Amino acid sequence: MLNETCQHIGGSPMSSKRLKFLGKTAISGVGYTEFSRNSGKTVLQLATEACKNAIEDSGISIEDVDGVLSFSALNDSVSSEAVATALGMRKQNYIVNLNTGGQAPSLLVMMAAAAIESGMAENILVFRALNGRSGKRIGGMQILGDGSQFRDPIGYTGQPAYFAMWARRYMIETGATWEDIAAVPIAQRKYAQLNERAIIKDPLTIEDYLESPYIVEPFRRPDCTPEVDGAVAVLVTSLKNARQMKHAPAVIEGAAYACGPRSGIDMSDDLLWDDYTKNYLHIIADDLWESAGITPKDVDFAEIYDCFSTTVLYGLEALGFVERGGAGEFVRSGETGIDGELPVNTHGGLLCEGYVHGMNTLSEAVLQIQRRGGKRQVKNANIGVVTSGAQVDGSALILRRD
Amino acid sequence: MGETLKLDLTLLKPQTNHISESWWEGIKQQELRYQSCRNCKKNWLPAIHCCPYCASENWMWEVSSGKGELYSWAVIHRAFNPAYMNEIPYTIVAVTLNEGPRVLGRYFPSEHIELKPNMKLKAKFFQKEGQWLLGFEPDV
Repeated sequence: MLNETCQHIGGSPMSSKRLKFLGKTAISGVGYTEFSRNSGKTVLQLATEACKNAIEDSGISIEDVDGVLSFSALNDSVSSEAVATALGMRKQNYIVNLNTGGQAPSLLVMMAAAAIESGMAENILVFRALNGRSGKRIGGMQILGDGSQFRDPIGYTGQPAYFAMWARRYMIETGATWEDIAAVPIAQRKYAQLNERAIIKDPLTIEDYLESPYIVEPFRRPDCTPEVDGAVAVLVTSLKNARQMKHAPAVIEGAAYACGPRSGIDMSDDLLWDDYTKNYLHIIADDLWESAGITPKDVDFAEIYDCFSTTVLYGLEALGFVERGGAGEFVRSGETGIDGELPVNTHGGLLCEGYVHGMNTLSEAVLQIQRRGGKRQVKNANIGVVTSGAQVDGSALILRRD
Repeated sequence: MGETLKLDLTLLKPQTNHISESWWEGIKQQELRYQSCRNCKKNWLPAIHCCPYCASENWMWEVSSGKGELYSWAVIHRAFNPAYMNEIPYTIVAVTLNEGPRVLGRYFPSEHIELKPNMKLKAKFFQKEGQWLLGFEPDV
């Protein structure tokens, strides 16, 4: 009898990937602040402004919100409690502060959706806020922890260096060339020109690319996301609630998160990670597609987390949009452009819009599903993929138009 | 607005702990040590108090040949920390030691030899401001 019960728990492999909140929860609205190099505002001001905007965008009031979730890297943000305080919110039923980076946006939406489905809370804000340019800058920040002693003293500091180390191995194993890498910022600049919010929107030619300085080889300046001041928030709610709100719901139809084996003893330690040519998306891809019951062919657009250009190539291959080693050719031939086979990073990506740690990757997907992409709106944007993270752990969502 | 960057031109000293002290003692003695599990026989770095493959605390320090293969590299053109401003550009290598663990070091060829994927390297210890550190050079 006990065995029978145990076997029943978890159900078949198919159903176990169909997380209970999928198809029943949605993102109803988004909120932005201006993105700039010097906001002149406190991080709390930025956070509350973005949250207010997301509430207003959903057509509800502050009193309706009963959960706030956020994340920060190395104490560069304010707490969810601080935002709830500043906004004079009523009793909060769910508060989360994750101490992590770009892995978080899709994961926090999953946590919000799970809390809503279980009845813990009803309308939840997820935000990211920082003075990333005028305040604490992540690019040069020392990542302290038990692994830093093996990096810092030899002069191995800063995220660009760690991602460059992965990029070089990726080039070695897949045969990707500098032209393949350059194709990513070149393609995304075209979108940036259609996006007023983008921090960098000058056109980029291959000549411009080659004239730009190296940051950490193989990365040149256009391969690295610019740090910005700003904040982004989204509102997560039940699909039932969302249908009563202002804009068409972006239904949370698929979701997955994983932290791979031996992911490291601090935020930048990856000495025990087996393969620098494969990130967490290789681990979650099957679960993600299975969770939504779709395949890559069903997808209309993708917003792939791009702190550095090569992470787009990893994402395209890991999620099965192209064969391994085929991502560079796919981007170079224009297939990720607005009229291509799979529009990718339609806001210009973090590479152009600025580094709000992937919250702006997620919010762009919501805008596309809601058909609010303006000049950069993808035709028939019914199903979109969002990824959050680029190395040893991360999350992803599939959003669907209702 | 913002934090003023402290212009500290001194080396970033290793923040050691009581497990990693032995590794650093090895570097000072110009030997490259790694951890080896008596339970599952796996070898690893960085220094952790138990085996990251089986969680056993029954492990020993071993001394590596210092030889290995180049796994990847990054050429630093921007000194994110001012302590390294006068050294750019310089190269950091990730090396897979013959004994298995992966380690990081500075690339210090005695003559100009371009890096090639999977090329053979050997440890070359160096001092910066009195601190012994790990580097590599071609094993020719």
